[in-house]
Amino acid sequence: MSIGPFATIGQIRQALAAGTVSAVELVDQYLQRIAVAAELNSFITICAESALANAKRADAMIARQGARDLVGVPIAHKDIFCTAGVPTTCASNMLANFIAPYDATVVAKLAAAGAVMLGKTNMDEFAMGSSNETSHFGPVANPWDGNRVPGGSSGGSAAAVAAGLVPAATGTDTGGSIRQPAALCGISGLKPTYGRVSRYGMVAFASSFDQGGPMARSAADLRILLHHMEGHDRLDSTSAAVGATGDLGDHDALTIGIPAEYWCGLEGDLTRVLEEAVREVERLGHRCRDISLPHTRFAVPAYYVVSCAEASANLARYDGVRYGYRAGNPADIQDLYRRSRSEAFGTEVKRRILTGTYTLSVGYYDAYYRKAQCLRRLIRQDFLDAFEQVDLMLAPATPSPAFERGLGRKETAADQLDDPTVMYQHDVFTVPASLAGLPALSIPCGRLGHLPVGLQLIGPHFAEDRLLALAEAFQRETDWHLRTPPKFARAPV
Amino acid sequence: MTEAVWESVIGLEVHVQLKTRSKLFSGAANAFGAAPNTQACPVDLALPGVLPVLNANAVRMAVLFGLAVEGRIAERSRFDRKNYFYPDLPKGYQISQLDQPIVRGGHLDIAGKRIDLTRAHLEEDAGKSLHEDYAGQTGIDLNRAGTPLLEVVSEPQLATPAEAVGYFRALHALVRYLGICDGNLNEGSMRCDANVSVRRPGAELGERTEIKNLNSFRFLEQALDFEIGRQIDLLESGKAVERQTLLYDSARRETRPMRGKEQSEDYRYFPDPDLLPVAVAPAMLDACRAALPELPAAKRERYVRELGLVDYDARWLVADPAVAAYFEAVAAACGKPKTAANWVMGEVAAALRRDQKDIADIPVPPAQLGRLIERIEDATVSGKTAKSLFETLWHEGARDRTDDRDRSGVVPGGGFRLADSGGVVDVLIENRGLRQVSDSAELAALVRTVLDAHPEQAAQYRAGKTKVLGFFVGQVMKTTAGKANPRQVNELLRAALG
Amino acid sequence: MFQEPPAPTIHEEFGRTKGKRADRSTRAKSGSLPYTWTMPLDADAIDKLARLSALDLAADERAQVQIDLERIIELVDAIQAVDTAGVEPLAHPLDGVQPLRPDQVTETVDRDRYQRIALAVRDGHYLVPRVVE
Repeated sequence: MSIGPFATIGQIRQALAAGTVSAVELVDQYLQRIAVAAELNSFITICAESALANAKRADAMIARQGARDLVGVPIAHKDIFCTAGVPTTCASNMLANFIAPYDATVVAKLAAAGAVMLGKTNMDEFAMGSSNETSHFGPVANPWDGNRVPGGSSGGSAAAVAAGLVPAATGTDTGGSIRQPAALCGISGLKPTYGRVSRYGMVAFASSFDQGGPMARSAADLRILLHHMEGHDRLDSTSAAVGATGDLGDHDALTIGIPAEYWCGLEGDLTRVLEEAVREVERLGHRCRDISLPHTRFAVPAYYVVSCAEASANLARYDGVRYGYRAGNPADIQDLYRRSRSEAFGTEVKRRILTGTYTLSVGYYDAYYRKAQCLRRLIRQDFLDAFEQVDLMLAPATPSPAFERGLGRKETAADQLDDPTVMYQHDVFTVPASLAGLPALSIPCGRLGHLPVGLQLIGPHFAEDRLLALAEAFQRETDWHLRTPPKFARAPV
Repeated sequence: MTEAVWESVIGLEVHVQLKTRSKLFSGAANAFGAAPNTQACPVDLALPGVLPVLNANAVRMAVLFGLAVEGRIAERSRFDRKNYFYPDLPKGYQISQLDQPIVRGGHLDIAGKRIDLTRAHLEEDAGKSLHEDYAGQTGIDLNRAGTPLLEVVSEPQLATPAEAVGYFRALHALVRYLGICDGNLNEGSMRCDANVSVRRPGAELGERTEIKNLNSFRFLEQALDFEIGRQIDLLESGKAVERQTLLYDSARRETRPMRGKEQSEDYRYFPDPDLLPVAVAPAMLDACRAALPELPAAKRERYVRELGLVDYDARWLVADPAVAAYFEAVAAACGKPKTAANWVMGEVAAALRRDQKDIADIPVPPAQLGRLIERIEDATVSGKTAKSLFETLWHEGARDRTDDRDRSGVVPGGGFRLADSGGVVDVLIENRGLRQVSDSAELAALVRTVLDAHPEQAAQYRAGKTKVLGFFVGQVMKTTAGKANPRQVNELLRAALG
Repeated sequence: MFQEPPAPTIHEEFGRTKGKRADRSTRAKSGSLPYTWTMPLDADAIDKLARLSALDLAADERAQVQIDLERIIELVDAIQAVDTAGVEPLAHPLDGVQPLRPDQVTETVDRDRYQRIALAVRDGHYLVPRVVE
C-alpha cells in the first residue's frame, strides 16, 4: 500500500496504473477510515459489499486492459443522487425508506467511467441549509473542529473528503451548497455552469438553480471528475449541448475582477487572508482590478423568493401515495397528505415550502416572485456587463469560516428561537453566481485561526476551463489544498 | 314564455387528447386501455429527481391545430406549473400553459355562425381515480397521467345548447381531419367543460357556473338544458346564481356541485423551471402548413360548388373525415356525386349502423359501390336489384375481411383495398343473371302477353281506373324476376293501354 | 479595493445593508417603491398557507412559523426597493429555448419494480383513502 488517504485522484490513478495499489486495497482503506471517523456522521449509507465487489471488478479490468478513466477510484455520492438499489434519502424522514429504481445520470456516468461508490453522504434535508444541521440523520461535524459545522448542504461530502474518508465526492449546489462547505472544510469544490451537468435523478430542490458538481482535494481532480459528469442528457432538457471541458490550455495573463460588493461584512481577519490570495494571483501574472456588481445585495432576497417558490412545487410530490413516508391510519385523503408531510418533513423544509407558497399566492406573485425574477435578470446582467471587462472574478466564498452549531439560535431564558434568516445571509457570496447560472468554484486559500478559508472564483457561462486553469495554477504555487485536519491526518487509519 | 325573456351565454373548454405515440413529457406509451399503471414510467409517477422532456410531436399537433383555425402561433410559449394536491396528480402540480399559450385566437365556423377561439394550449392529463372497486378506498391508475392534451377555449359566443353541440361537433370533426385526436368520446379522448350563464337580452353577463367533464354530445346538450333552466328558475324566484363548479349526473339528468371545490383554489401558477420556453422553429411551421389537409369547411364548400350537393348533404358527409374520404372515392369511381351521396347517406350509413361497424371497417370498397352506381345509371340493373347486390357485396366483403383477419391477425392496410376492383360487381350481375331487361322489343312482347292475360284489368284502366297500371307493372316484373327496366315497362304499358 | 470597513459579523443582515458600495447602483433606486407592501401574516393567512402546502401545523408550531415567515418576508422585502419597470423577468439562467424530444416510446414500464417502493397497492392500483368528487 503506497498511497495515503489524502492522495489525489491523479496520484491514485498513477498508483493503480503502476500496480502499486489495488482498487480493493483502496476501498478497504477508505472503508476503515469511514468506520473510524463515524463521529463526523458524514455518511448516511455505506455500501461496503458492493464497493468491494466493484473494486474487484476494477482490479480485473485494470489487469486486463490497464488503468483508464476512473477505474478503481473510490468516490462517494451526496445522498441527493438517486442510486438504483441503494437508498436515496435526501437526508429526510420522507425518503428514509426510498430506493430509486434508476441511477441519476451523474451516478451512471461516473460508474461507467469505473469509479467505485463507497456510499452516500449526509446533507441538509432536501439540500435546504448551510450547516448540515437539518439532516434527519443528524448533523455532520467539521473535521477541523468538531463543534463547528461543515457547511451545507453538501456537508457530508465536504467533511468526508476533508477527513480523507474518500478522495472525492459529488455535491449539488443550489445557492452555494458545494462552494460553501468546500470553503468551510478546506477542500476544492466546483459548481459548474447551470446545464453543464445533467440534473436527471438528482432530487430537485430549486430546479432553475440546482447543479451537480465535483468536490475533491484539488482543482486538477475537479477537472477529471467534471469530465466524467458533464454532457447533454436526453433526460434533462435543461442540460446544455456544449463542448466538453478540455484539457489545461495555454492561458495568457488574465484580467481578474474583484467585485467591491463582496468585501464588506467579512468576519475578522478574513479580508487579510483573502488579500494575500489576491496577491498570489497577481504573482501568477494576472491583473486584478476593481469591478462593481451593483445588485449584489438583492441576491439573497431574490434567491430565497425564487428558490422557495420552486421548492414548494418540487416537494409537492411527497404526498404519501406512491412512495416515501406515509402517515398511519389516515382519516381521509387530506389527512393522509397533511400528516405524511408534517410528520416527515423537518422544520426548515416546511418553512421554505410555506415561504414559497406564500410568495406564489394570488396577490403576492407580482410583488415577490415576478419581482425577484426581474432582480435575477439585473443580477445576471451585472455579471454579463462585468465579464465584458474581465476574464474571471475573485471573491470570498463565505463571509466567515466554519461557525459553531446553532447559528441564529438565541438562547435566552424566555425563548429558544431560531432566526432562519441569519443562516440565509451566509449564502451572500455564493447565491449571485447561482442566480446567474455561472460556474464558480471554491479552493482553500489560507487559514483564519485553525479554520480553512475559501477563495471563490467565478467565470462566464461555460468557462469552466479557464476557471479550473487559474485554480490549478494557484494550487501549483500554494499548498493550502494539501493541508489536512490534524485529527484525521494520521495515515492510513 | 321564459324563452323569450332570457338568453343563455355559453363558452366551452374542450380537452383534446393528442394522438402521439409517447406522452407529453415522458417516453412512456400513450395508449388507452392498458392494465393499471403499466404505462406510467418514473416521470409519470413523479419519482424523485426525474424531469419532463417535451414531445416534439405534441407541439407539431398544436401548431397544426393553430394553423387550421387561423389562430396565431406563439413564437415563444411557456409551460407553467398549476399547483394543487390530488391523488391522480402525482407531482402535486399539472404542467400547463397559463399566460403564454402556444395558440391564441382563431375561429371555428358552425352552421351560419363564426365562433371565436380564445386560445389553445398544451397541458398534461391527470391519472384516473377509481372510486368503486376498493371498499372505503380509492384506487389510482396513472396510465393516463402525462397524456398530451390540447385545451381549446372558445369565447362565450354560443347562444344555445344546440349551438354548443354544433361547436363541439365541428371541433370533433376538425381534430380528426388533422389526425391529432382519435375522437373516441367514450374513451374520453375529448372532454368538455361548459361555462354557462343567463341574462336578459342586452344585459350584462350573468354569474356563470362551470359544468365539468362532459364527454358526449348528448350529455353536453342535456346538461346545458338543465343548467340553463335551473339558473332561470333561480333568477325568476328572486334568488342569485352562485358561481360554482358542477358535475352532470346523467342518470338523474341534473347538475350538482362538485365536492371539495367550494373554496376558490389558489393554483399558484409559475413558469416551470424544468422547461425552457418553447420556440416553434420556422421549419416546423412550414412543415405544418404543408401538411394541412383540406378542412371540413373547405370540403363542404367544394362539395356544394363542384359536386353540386345540397348543403345538408355536404355537411353530413364532411362530419367524419373517413366518411368523406369514402364518399369521394365512390363519387370518383362512378362520376355521379349526387347518387354517391345518396348511397353513402342511405344504404351505407344504415348498414354501418345495423352492423355497428366503423367506416374504417366497411366491407364494400368504394370501387365496388362506384361500379354498382354506374350499373344503375346505365340501366344494367334496377335500383332494387342494386340494393340487394349491395347487401351481397356487404356480406361477402365482411366475410373476406374476417378471413383475412384470421390469417394474419390484422386487416392488411386497414383501408379500402380488399377486392377493390369494381369488376366483382359485373361478375355478380352476369353470374346471377341480374342484368335488367331493357330490350324494347322483348319488353313490348312481355307487355302484350300480360295485357292479354288480364283483359278485365285492361278494361278498368281504360275506363279511368289508372291505378291498375301498378298491377300490370308488378305482373311484368314478376315474369322477368324483377329484371325488367321499370321505367320502360311503365312507358310501354301506358302506350299499349292508351 | 479594501477600503470598506469590515462589518462586524455575518449577523448583520446583508440583504438590507445600506453600505456605500451598494449605493453606487445606478439601477437600484431606494425610495421609489411602487407601493407600500404590507402583508398581515395573521392566523388566517397561516391557515391558508398550511392548507395550500398540505401541512398540519400544531399550535406552538404555528406561532413559530408566523414569526419565521415574518422574518423571511422582511428579508426578501428588500427587493421592493428596486425599480424594475421595463425589466423582463428571468425565469431561467440559460435564457434560451428548449430542445424537443422525438415522439418515441423509450420507456418500458416494470410496474412491479416501481410498486415495490409503494405504500399501499392492490391489483396494480395505488390506494388512498376514499376520495369523493
